[in-house]
Amino acid sequence: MLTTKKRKLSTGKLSHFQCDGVLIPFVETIPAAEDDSDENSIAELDLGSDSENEEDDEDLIADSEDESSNEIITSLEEKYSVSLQPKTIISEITGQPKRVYPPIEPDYDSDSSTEDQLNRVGNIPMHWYDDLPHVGYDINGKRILRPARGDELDKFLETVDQPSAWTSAFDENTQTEKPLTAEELDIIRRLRENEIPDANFDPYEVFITEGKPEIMPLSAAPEPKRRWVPSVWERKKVMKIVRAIRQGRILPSKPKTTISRPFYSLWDGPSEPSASTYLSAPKVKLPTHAESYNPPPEYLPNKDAISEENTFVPKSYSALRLVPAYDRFINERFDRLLDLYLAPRVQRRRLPQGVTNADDLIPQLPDPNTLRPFPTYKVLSINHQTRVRAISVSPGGEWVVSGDDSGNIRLWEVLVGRTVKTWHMDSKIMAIEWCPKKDVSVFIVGTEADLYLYVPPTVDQTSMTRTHSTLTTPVTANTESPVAWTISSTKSLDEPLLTIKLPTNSGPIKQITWHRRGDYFASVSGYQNQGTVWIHQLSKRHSQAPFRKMKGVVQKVLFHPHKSHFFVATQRYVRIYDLAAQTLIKTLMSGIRWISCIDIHPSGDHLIVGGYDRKLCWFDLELSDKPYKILRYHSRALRSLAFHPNYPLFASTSDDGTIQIFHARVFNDLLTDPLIVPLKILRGHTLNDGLGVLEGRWCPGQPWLVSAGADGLVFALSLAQFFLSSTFLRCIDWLI
Amino acid sequence: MADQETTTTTTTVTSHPAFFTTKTEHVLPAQKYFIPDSWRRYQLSQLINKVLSLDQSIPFDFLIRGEVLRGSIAEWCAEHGIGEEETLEIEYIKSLMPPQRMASIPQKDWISSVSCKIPESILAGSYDANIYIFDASQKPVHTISGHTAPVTSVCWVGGLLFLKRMGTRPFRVKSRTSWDAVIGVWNTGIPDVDQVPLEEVGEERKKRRKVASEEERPVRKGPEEVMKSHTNRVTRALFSPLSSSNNLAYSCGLDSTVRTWDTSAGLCISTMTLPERPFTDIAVQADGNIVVAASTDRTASVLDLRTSNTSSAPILSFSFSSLPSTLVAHPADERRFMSGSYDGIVRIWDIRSPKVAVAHFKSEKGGKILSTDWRKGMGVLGGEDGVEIWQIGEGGDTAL
Repeated sequence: MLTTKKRKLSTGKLSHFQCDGVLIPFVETIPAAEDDSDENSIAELDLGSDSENEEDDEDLIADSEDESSNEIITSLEEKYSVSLQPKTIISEITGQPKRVYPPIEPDYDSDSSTEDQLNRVGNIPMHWYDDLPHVGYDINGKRILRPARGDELDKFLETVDQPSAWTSAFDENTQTEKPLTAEELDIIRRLRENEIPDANFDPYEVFITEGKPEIMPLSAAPEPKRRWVPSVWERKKVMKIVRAIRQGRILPSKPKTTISRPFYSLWDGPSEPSASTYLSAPKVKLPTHAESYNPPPEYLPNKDAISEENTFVPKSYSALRLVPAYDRFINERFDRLLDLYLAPRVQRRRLPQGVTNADDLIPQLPDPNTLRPFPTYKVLSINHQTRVRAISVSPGGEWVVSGDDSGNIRLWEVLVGRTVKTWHMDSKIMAIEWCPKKDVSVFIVGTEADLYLYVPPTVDQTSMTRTHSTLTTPVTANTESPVAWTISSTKSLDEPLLTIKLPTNSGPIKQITWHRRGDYFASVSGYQNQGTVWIHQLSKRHSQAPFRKMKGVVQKVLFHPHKSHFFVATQRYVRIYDLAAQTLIKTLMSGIRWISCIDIHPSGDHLIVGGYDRKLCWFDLELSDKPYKILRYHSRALRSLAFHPNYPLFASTSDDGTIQIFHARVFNDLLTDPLIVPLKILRGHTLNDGLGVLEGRWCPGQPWLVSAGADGLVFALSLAQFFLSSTFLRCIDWLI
Repeated sequence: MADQETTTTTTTVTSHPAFFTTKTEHVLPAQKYFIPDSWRRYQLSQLINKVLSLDQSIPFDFLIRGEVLRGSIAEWCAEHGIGEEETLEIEYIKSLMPPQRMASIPQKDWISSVSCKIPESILAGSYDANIYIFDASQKPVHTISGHTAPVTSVCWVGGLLFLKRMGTRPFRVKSRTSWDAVIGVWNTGIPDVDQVPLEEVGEERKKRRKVASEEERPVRKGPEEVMKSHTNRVTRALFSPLSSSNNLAYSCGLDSTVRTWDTSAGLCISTMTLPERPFTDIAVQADGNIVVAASTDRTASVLDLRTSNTSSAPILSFSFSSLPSTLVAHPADERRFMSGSYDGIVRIWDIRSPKVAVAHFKSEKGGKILSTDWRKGMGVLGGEDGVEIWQIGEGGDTAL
């Protein structure tokens, strides 16, 4: 139909409007011409409804079983030209009412494709007839007059009245609106949906070729030899070239000479600041009274004083409307632009007062060599096979007890490294602490559940008896406590002399710490997210929990060296309690996310706190709740901190496998700040499961350090000792 | 012959005029030699061997101005700023032959102390509280088990064997009691006491045992003198090797002091302090003038006993790669001493060669060496791996 009638498909415009990111396709109906006659449009509508009704008719025909097809066709033919409405009649055969459609005459005109075309002007631009009263000529050569067209209101009414109006297109040939047929609408739909316009075209038709048959590309033929055997001819050719190169007949290509074009760095000089630093433009000087249009007379210069050309000369005008155009406007704008363009956009960095070179910014620290002695090298190592968590040095500084994860406790001598005695327990050794009392020789071992008191065999008879008498004399049972103390029945040194059973489910012992006098000791126990503090008294063999409720998880506790203060480190804060007055004295804000270790200076005025977030805070307890200094020097979490009891040293051990030694001198006068100097990084421990050096302890009286590591199979407990610069003096004559 | 040599050498390289002196029996004729600059010990030693036309070549070491020559003469001259025309006086001594291991006697426990002062027998004190005596063929002759605690020090006294427990390291606190308070070594803060018996029988020793005659119960003796002066643990105490001053004793301790004692009066005669050098062992040289003290800072310091009551710097310092645990002086040569360290290396030092040890050798397994002793070409090591016997000879003759 399209090909014969050549309808212009201007109506069904496909357009996409984007609305909130969603493509909404819709068909916009635009009438091609405005002056359409009502009659023609109606006729066209009738034509359009023709085909639709045809389809409907056919459906209905299929329903009526008893009618012959010929009848239907003839009845349709009859009705086609006149009326398409079906007639309802009573069937003679069945006696039932039935609808009968006018028959269609199967002659030449019955098909719309051969429909008689009224306008016979041919395929010419129709605007040639725009200013003529007719639109063309019919087959007889008579003029076809331009059909009358309604106004806009008619058009609107038409769209309202007739539902098919929006699917009609303007036919230029007849200068009328013609409704699109179902096939044309189908073509439009297909085009819109990116389908093939022809409904009858099958793109997946089986293509049958003639001639050479197709061959399966995969072949079972054996691979030819040339695929893997190197080519002889290629080798010969290459060798020819190689020989030529060797003999110098072929010269290798000259090195490409790069043309050295001189480039100049425009902005060469000091490193420019990053682009993010905004530098404001130089400011314009604000006008003063002199720039006023009517300045006070004292601003007006004398006639003699006007000498230079390019300076602004104040002038006075009686009214603002008398002020002329500023003659130096262009000059001043140009100067301003020059200022902006040529202003050096470099931020000037000012050094602090009195600093002349960069070295002055480094803090003045004394040379570590002048701060000797401190540990520098590993003297000996004790192999513990498994991870060593706990280590303790005897108060005399001669003996070391170390306990590992497989439950072995080893007592060895510091200087020689010989193991004197070993004990074995069935659980991991979590903490070991030697009693600081000099006359009683005992150390406490904390396992995953309980506390055990062992007596080392390194004491003489009197000390042994005194220890036994201190620990085993019966005491009057005072208040009830959930902690049970049991005295071993045997006198054997292989067994713990005392066993302190904490309440069940109190978790592994995290820490044991002694009071300076050696009578009280505190233990922290608990699983990951809890910490219970118990304070035990050795002479009365009694335990009590000092805190009924504790905010936060207790990490470490500490006794003050000479006051009755008690430090409790939770995850973030360190609280100081007065045990005698039973009050909270202070809360120290460390700023550490998770505190791992604390230690107090022997003077009792300074506290260091280390955390798993690699920070170390130095608190001056008299000064502030905030740290005096925050140091971050380890690359992994801190594990333990220890002040030396005699020397001005402290050591920190970390999961990065290093031990760092610091000089920490505290002055007696309150005005001088403590001096902290990094001295030495001791390496040697290897990492195991992300754990490095777990504990470091000092030997009292000597600048020696004992450290316990988590390093896998070889657990080196290194004793580092100090080292004096080895100056070799000359041999002196008289010696020989 | 020497003139011929000089004429041949002066034409090619610069040479030094030199005199050769010696105290050995191989004496060169006293005349001036011209020695090429590039010569080292080996060439000099060959020169002497050739000049004397010895049947069996003897290696020599050379001393120039009291210093053992290491390297070429040119290097030595450059180091000391000595011009070409100056005449050198070169003294030569017999070289020390490289020591050779003769035997090793493995032990179950660590050996804390060895002694070979009596010929044909070796005495070893062990950490398992026994004392072993071996004969020359390394067979165990006798085992004495009288102690209840590890033995840390043993020594011979005449024909008698004295075992001392110097405040015995393992049972240090115990040694505070009366029966071995003589040589007590104590904890910090407590004045320490020490004394070692060496000469006089029946005095100032805690334990002794007669081996030669018959088995007796060990005699326990109280201390005759209790000498308190040390402020920290005493690690070693010795009597003077000179028979003329047999009431002199020396001690060292972790308090960085070396003290001289008068045992008859029980007084500290002099104290030498080297700051921050805890001493582990001392050795008094044969002439009684020089004491060498090993300290935990991996040095051994040579101190002159004749300058008393000074905390002066040491005359010399020898440096070690590990902690030196033991020192022993040569029984006859006042310039030599032997040291053992924790890395299992034994070094023989000459005071005239402060930079490099004269000889060094490593024990068989490389364990810690806790004690050494030597006598007449034989060195005995005791330590973690038991007892080892080495032959340390000089100048070709092993029976030094």
